Amino acid sequence: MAAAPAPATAAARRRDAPAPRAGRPGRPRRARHTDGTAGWWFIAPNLVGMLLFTLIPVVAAVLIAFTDWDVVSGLGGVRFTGLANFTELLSDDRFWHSFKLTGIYTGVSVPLSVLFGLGLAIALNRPVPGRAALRTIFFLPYIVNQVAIGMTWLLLLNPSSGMVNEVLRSVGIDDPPAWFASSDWALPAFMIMAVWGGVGYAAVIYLAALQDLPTDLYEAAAIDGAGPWRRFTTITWPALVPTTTFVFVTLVISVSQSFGLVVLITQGGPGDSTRVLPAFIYQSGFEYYRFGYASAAGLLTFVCVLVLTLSFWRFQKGRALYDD
Amino acid sequence: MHSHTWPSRRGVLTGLAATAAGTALSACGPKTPGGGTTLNMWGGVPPENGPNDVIAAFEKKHPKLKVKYHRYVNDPQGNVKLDTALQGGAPIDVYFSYGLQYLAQRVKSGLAADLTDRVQKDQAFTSLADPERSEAVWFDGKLHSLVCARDPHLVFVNQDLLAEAGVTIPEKWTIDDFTKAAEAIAGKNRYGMLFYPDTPRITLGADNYYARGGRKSRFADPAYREYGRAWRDALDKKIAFPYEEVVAQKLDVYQHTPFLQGKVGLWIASTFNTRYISDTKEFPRDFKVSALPMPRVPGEKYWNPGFIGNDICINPKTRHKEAAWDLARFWMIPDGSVPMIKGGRVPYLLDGIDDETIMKELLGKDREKVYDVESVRRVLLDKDTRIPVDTVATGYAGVYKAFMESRAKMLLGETSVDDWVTTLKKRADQAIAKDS
Repeated sequence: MAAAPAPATAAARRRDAPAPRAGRPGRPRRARHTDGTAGWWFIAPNLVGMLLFTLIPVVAAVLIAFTDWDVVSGLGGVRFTGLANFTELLSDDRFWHSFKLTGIYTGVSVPLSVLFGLGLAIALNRPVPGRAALRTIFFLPYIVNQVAIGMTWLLLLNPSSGMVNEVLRSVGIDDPPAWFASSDWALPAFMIMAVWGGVGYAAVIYLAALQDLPTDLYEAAAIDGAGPWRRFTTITWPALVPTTTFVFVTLVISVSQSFGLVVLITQGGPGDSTRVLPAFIYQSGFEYYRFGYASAAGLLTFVCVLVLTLSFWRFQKGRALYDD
Repeated sequence: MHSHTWPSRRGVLTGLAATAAGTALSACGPKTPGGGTTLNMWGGVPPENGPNDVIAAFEKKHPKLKVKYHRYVNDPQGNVKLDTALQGGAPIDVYFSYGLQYLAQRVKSGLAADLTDRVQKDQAFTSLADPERSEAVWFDGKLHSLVCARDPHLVFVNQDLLAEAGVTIPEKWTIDDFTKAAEAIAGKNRYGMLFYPDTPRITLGADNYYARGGRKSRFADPAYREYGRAWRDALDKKIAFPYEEVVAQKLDVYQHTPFLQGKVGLWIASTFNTRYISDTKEFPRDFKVSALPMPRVPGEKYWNPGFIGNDICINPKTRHKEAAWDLARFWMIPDGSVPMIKGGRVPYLLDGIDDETIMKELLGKDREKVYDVESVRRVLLDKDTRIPVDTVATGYAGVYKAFMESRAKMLLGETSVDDWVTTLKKRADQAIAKDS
């Protein structure tokens, strides 16, 4: 109470600033400038990095989408083609096939990851022995090197000697799936991998949210006679809507951009059965040298993910139980 | 309080610009400390598989020249990396191109210097200089590369499995002899062949994917249907290695494992695979390996389905044209080409290299234990071997992709042979039309 109130405005702050040191006329003006410069120095590495490796490539990618460019012919070979790449894409069966595959892949693996992740989080949100260790174990797939994950699953799902098919044979399934070596089963195999990787991620986020929920609501509900299912549907689930939106959006972005594992394991095959959109974009650019076309496909993918993300945010509005 | 020690914003920007300029300029400085010249070379062969030895020999002969070898992976990403570096003015003096598709693109974009005059004036290259005799690719009467390796395909044979099967193979065997031998070898957990011979390339020769000078695909040719039918048949009879396993183990790229594990009797492969066969530490085994020529299709033309390639190009922007030529030339003559043999690259120009040297370098020091050396010599150095030289690459990436993708589905039994050929032709024609 006894302390002097802080100056309320910038002008007042300037008035209250210490007087310049004697013998150095004009320094305060300089000091304000140099303080700003110091800030620029601090953020310069990040700024340069972002400019060089994010902003310029993103702008370039957008511009390239409206051109026909093969890289090899250099900047002199850039030919502006307007919307030609986009119109070609919309009539390209290969693009729509990849679009459909990405939709199925994301549409199946993300909800399953969220569902199992939520279940796991609820199971772990009790005094389970070794809870911290279990949490780490479930989260591990999300942070392990993709190459290691790919090689492990390749071995597990090997048609003749993989552990999964050995187990299936031992329970009487004589003709188990060929997994990555079958056009019908390769995408489901990737879905299994995506769910395996996504469950731990979703569970950890859900667990953090569950531990933040106010216990008094549950106590009041219990006194009012609400059973576990009722408590879940009226308290837990509404409170978790923002978390669910976050998990959904981040998983959709991550799964729809799956590229490394597809290239490592199947290169989009057998045939074109796993050529999801990122693989299509890669092939168009790096294999067919059609960088304008690839950029246009990338831009369309970005727009789709953006629309999906905005839809999720809009959907969650009014459905969440916020603890004000 | 110490704010006066910070430079001005202009100072920061000037500093950044100076650093960027310094970095850019330092990349352009090819002078070696002793006052000589440093040549930058890009290639796809790992340096320890030959290039290091070639460079050491070159530097010994040209003490004022140093060579910095940059390995790029010969895959789509690696090739784009090389192309952007060439376009962006990176200091590359000499580089390798692998495959007609990449070479043609670089020549068309002015990224490969015209070497015609130099080749025609050089006594060492008389066989290259004549477009009628040369197996190099000419673009509008100009030569833009030095082709430095020949890669005929051979049939490697597990001698124990062949002996056990009691099969005798005639010297000039046919595709039927091949299938019969594979059938005799096949048994429990053992297969006669890894892949079926590429009969369309054996019979059609160069540009076997293309018809009408590259304006259409050639997949309607009966050779493809017959090839698909025969391979599918071999898979159904369990004579050929299961294609599910080929896909699962990614044997399209690295094929050697089943053969070296003794699971496959006949393996059609490129010469460079000798580096795996010779490695008995990594792949210990009891059996000896012999070689047979590719089987013939009776009544048809007979080509070896291998390739002639590994093209050395000179960047037209190089500031060291003479030194770059010296290096490219050195790679072609025995001083430079012999050290590459141990990595499986048989030199294109064999003048001045005796057979014994090739066998010694290619098959390694344990060759007598590992190989039937005489059979390899006979097949590999057969003067009558004709390797086709492709000249058309219209929409090649799309055509090749269509071929590989649709063939995989057919060999997995997911589409019929007839449907395969129909789909393949349609897709390949579309790819060609797009690029025409």
